[in-house]
Amino acid sequence: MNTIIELRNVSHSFVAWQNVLKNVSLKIPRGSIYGLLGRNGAGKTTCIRLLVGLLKPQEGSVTLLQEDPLRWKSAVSQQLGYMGESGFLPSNMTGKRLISWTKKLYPQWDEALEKRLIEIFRLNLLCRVSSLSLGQQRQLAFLLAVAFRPAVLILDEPAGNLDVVARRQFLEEIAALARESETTVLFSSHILSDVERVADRVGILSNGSLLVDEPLDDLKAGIRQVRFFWDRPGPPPVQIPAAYRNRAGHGETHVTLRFTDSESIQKIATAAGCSWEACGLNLEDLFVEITGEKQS
Amino acid sequence: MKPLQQLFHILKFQVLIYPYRFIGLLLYVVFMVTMQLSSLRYNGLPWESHPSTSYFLFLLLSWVLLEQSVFSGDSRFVSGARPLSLTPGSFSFLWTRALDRNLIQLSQIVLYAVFVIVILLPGITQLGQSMEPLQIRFQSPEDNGAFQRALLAEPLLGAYQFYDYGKRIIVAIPYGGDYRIGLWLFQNVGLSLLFLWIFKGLNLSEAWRDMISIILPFPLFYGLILPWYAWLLVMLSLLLYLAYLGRIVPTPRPFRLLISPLVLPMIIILMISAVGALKFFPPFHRFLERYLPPDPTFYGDQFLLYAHYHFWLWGGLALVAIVLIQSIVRKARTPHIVSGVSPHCS
Repeated sequence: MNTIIELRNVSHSFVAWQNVLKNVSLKIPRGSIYGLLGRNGAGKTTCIRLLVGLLKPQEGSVTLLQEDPLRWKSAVSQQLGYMGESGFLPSNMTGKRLISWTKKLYPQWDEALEKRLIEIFRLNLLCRVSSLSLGQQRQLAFLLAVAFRPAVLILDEPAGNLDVVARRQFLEEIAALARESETTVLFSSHILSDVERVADRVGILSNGSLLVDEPLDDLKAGIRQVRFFWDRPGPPPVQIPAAYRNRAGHGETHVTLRFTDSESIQKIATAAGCSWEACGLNLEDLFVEITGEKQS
Repeated sequence: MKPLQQLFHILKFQVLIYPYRFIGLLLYVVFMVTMQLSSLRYNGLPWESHPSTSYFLFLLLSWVLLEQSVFSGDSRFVSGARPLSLTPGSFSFLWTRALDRNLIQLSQIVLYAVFVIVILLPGITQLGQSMEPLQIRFQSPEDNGAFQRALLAEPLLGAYQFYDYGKRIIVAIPYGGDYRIGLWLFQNVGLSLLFLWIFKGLNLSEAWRDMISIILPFPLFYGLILPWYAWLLVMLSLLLYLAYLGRIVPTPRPFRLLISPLVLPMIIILMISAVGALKFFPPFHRFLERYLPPDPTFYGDQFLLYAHYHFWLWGGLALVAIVLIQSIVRKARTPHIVSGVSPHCS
């Protein structure tokens, strides 16, 4: 496995009493499309800013393309495409000028891809960035990040402010880029259906800790919701400490856990005097179960 | 791209994203230098060459601006202060492009140095006119006749006497201004850069960094020549600046705008300029010149106030004109407005 992005025991805080990231370790192999998920304030943007060298980690180390992002030279950064949050582009420049300025930095700039994206997004390049709608600003930022076919593409909330059609176009382009150029993609998103559509690997951040980091298919296959239910009223709730979430009530307990084998679940059910059944979850349900309150 | 090309490319970007600021600054420099050079007509008259209070406030304003430009958008060190930057938002964009990051930092220094020199240029030209003598005061309870004669006889100094007030004499040394050019450049550019980089390295919090880097250079630059009330103004400005950042008490938004480092010095300077303009209205000015005996402290301050008056008057009018022209041009460019949204930009 050729690791392209790596965070090793990274902790970071902006104020002394609260860590935004707590001992996060993460490895992303070449060619992956990695979806970074988390609730608001979970640490996604901080994680991304650390990766591109906009922040310096207070503890731990970060490597991207086997280099420390803080010590990059231009040759290495020619392989990074980055799209930050909104407000990232210089607002006083026109799209045309911004593209022509950026183009000079990348000898490998793909004119055909540039034209294709301008057509797909229907971008008006004569307007200043500040005159464009937020969605079009995101599209322009995306064009600047991908038109030189980078080896690594890091996108922070790329689909924010986009309509459904534009979002779909975005996803198609990301998938095409990964397919054609073997680009490693890391993107954060709140829209889980988008992540589910293109990502092959996901990480879930919650309160600064990385709770999940594995291939999407393994995650979906590995984590199940088990329903323990009783025939008689007022049974004691089943407590499994390693579970992501326990919910009890109305003669049944729902436990979301990493499902290893049926025997151990059967043992718990027998001890509690109840029956059980397990079901799979889609990514959105998984996300809620993992990042929601542990008990309810 | 070669490093030098990259550096020019970055500088071009910085200018392109805020062209009006750079044009404005250039116009300001042209105006101030012209005004200062026209003060050559006062060369025959004796005047004090210390910076006036209003000029000092200009320096305070420029200091805050310049410092913010160096730290422009650098999220490792700034957050709330970013909107004050001369080129806000440029840093994170440049930082994530295929550019040598050392060159990005270097471009910030180059910009900073350019701004320092440009803003201090009026002061330099004022102090640096080679015809202007460097004045030295001597005061003694005894008669200075012997010392005075000895000083004037020293050929290396080439000094000559301006005034003799009995126990207090003022001796002037010609071409002293040349010496001051170098000194000012060294002090203002060299030391400022040094301080900024030390504080950047220390990774201090925003408020501490601002406090130290604003206060500390002043004793070095002006410690010997600033009157007490100017120090009071430094302290007051600093307190207001911290209040603006919300470090002392949560400050309501309209008040924040009023006391912002950009607006407050401008208001003060405008007030001083207005007073100066009333006091030195041109006919009155000519009257004073003709009938009153030259006062050593009079002409230096008077000239700067006069210049500021013109700067604000014409600068303000120019600003209004620019806004008007811009709105007219924009309207002309977007002929089809549907529901307030341009079809080109929606």
